[in-house]
Amino acid sequence: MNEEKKLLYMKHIRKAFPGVLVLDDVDFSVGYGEVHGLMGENGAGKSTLIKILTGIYPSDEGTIEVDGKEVQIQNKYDAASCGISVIYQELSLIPTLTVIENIFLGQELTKGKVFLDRKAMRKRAQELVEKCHFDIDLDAAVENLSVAKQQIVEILKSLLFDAKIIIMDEPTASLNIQESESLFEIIRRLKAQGTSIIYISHRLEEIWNLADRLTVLRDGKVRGVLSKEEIEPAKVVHMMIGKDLQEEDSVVHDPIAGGSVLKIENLSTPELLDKITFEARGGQILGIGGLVGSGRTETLECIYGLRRYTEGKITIDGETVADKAGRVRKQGIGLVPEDRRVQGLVQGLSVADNIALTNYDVMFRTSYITPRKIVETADKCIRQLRIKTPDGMTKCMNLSGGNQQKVVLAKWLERDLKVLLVDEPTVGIDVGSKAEIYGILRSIADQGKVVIVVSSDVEELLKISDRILILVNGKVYDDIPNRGLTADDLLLAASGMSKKEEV
Amino acid sequence: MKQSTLRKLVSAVLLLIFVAIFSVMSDSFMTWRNVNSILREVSVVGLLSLGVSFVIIGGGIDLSTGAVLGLSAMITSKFVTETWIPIWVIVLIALLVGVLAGLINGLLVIKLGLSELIATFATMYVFRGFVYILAYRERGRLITKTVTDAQFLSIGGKIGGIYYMSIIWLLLIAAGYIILKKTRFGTYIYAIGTNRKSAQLSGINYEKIKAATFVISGVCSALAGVFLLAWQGSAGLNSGSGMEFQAIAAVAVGGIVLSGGRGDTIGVCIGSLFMIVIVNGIYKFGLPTEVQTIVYGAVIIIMSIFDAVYMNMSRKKLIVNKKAGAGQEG
Repeated sequence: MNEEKKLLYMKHIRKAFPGVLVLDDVDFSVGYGEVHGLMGENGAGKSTLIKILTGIYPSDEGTIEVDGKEVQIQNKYDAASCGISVIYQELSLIPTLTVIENIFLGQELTKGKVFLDRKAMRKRAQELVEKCHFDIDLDAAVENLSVAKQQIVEILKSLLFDAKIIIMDEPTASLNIQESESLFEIIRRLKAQGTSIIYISHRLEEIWNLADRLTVLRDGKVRGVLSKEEIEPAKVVHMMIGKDLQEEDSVVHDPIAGGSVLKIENLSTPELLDKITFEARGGQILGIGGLVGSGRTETLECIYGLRRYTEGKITIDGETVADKAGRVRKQGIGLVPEDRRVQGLVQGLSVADNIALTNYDVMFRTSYITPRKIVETADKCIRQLRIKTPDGMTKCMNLSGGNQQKVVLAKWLERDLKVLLVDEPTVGIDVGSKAEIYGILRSIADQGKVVIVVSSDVEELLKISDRILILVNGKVYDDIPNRGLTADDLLLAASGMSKKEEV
Repeated sequence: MKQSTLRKLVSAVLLLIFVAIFSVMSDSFMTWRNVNSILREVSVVGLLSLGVSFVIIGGGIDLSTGAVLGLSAMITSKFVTETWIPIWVIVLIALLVGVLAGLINGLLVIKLGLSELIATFATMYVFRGFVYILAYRERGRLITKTVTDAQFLSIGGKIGGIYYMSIIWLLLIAAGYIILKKTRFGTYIYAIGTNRKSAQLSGINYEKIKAATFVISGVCSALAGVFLLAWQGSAGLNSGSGMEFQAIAAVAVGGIVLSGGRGDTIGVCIGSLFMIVIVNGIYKFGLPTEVQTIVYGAVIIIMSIFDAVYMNMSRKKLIVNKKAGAGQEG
């Protein structure tokens, strides 16, 4: 590939923030109709690079060329006129407006500058939808669409002003397997139309599937640009973290004698769950897989007392588990919720306060709270879990995703737990932190506690679970020890298509 | 059926039920005279509702509407009784007072970053204070003065048996509907009311739209002041006091969600009628006026419960639908 053929060429980009060199002489290029992966751990400089490309930050040094011409991108309008558009991790749509209204928001077609020309807008939108073979109801309110469909709206929005490069930042973070698949299909179609895509993801298998080339950043430097054939997991991880990741062989851990036992019998809810029955034992990590809507999260919610069930029995070490969250917690069951940013943490509070929040009852005998004890407890957790934070008084919103998740885990470590329920432990977390979180979960299990992990990430389930439970439409479809399982086995089972005959 | 349509239908049907009950129970309720007077009364509160609905849909709140009404009524009264300025100019001045009040609210919220609740709560007192300053005095004592100018009072008159102000109110409700649903500006109001950041990311000028909603609210309130004066003939110190809450209540009953981004002026129309019909009906029943306020509160609570239950139901339905959708794809 010679230089003239590049759609985008960022040359010698340098960017320093006070005290930190974030990007150091970075070259980044994207070809026509190319899906270009961008990987790196949190803090590697990916977002800064994208922000420079979209005019949010100016670069200290370096040039940007689009179509072979040097351009100045100082704000998002400049970026848009260069054909660069971003689909953010948190979508930027207006839920109460319809799909059409959202697509055209800020660039409506009008009659006489004031009145909306709905007919013309519909026609234009229809053309785009047909061109890309999207399946979407243009008149639906965006709030009634799934996240996957909302992404389509975002994509349509960028196509409207002839985006040549669409930047996708962790687009599959909140999608299930099928939705991700259809997104990949959409990306392939966009590519076939000649649209280039910069695809940022922590998930290697996605990059491997989609990307024509991959640029890996570490500590603000380009560590390698790989072509499709060169993308190998071990190599990429090595580039990303600068050392080899210790790949543990998947050894099934046996339950620890004397560990806790959680028994679920015939758990049913009116809407979804249908006689869910399983047993989880201390010392083992039980993974629960299945599609979104298969009842994974609902099962956890029932165990934790957040959701009513009409039938069934849940016992922990022979004792019946209450059906109220407050009492369940006292019985030694903890939950790490799916959305750490909203449900797991109070973002505006410090690390120390967040850890203390759920533990006032074990930390203090009376209602009187001593700040010193809170800070000491926090310091202990920070050391134990190696949470990267300046100190315990730092607000959680200033931590990276991986470290936030460690804080959520720390909240539970303070208690005398029997069971820890974890919903999607590593969404949007970089590879390095992922490994650490897996390590923490394993060490909890090793103490004889029951650990149950729900995850949409098949690789994750395979990596950490000793046993995997597959739910399909609210039923237990399969319960398999994790011995020599592959992603394909799980995907097949999750879609309810084939029962694995033997293990 | 769309959720918002259903919501409006429910309040409309409830309104009709009340109308039916009142008609049966009281001979004087369903008379042309009474209906006309209901329509006149609703046009004053309804104008405040209309104005504040723009602010609320844009994600805000305006508590100063009643005070702006009072101020506009007092200023108009002063000009009519003490100057020879043509009536149409005076009305224009009153409306300008509304624009100014809206701009002040907008300024406090946008430029100084005050919360809308606090800012308009404060201006409510400030505007009311101006009413006190402007009020008629004789040897230092406050007095009321009646407007006798026939030309001005003709604003409170009728055409074809219906009061001008009722007709104007209905026309403005229609205009409001068109603005919200058919113009770019209207779409932007919904956008900033739902998600300000996303709206800004789409290149919408948040400050301009926000200020415009306050100005609309101010102008509507000022016009309501002119109407009230033309109807009652005199402006009191407390004209319009408490009406800001009546207006917000009407808007809520009409299905305009107070957190913003939803609703339209048809809901405003139904909600305003609802509030006035209930007051009127209770009055016709011969129940003490104290009961009115209790019924007001009760209606708001009932409609909110309905909203909460209904929203909950439709959310569940949505989840089920999404699941069904996911199943099909598989």
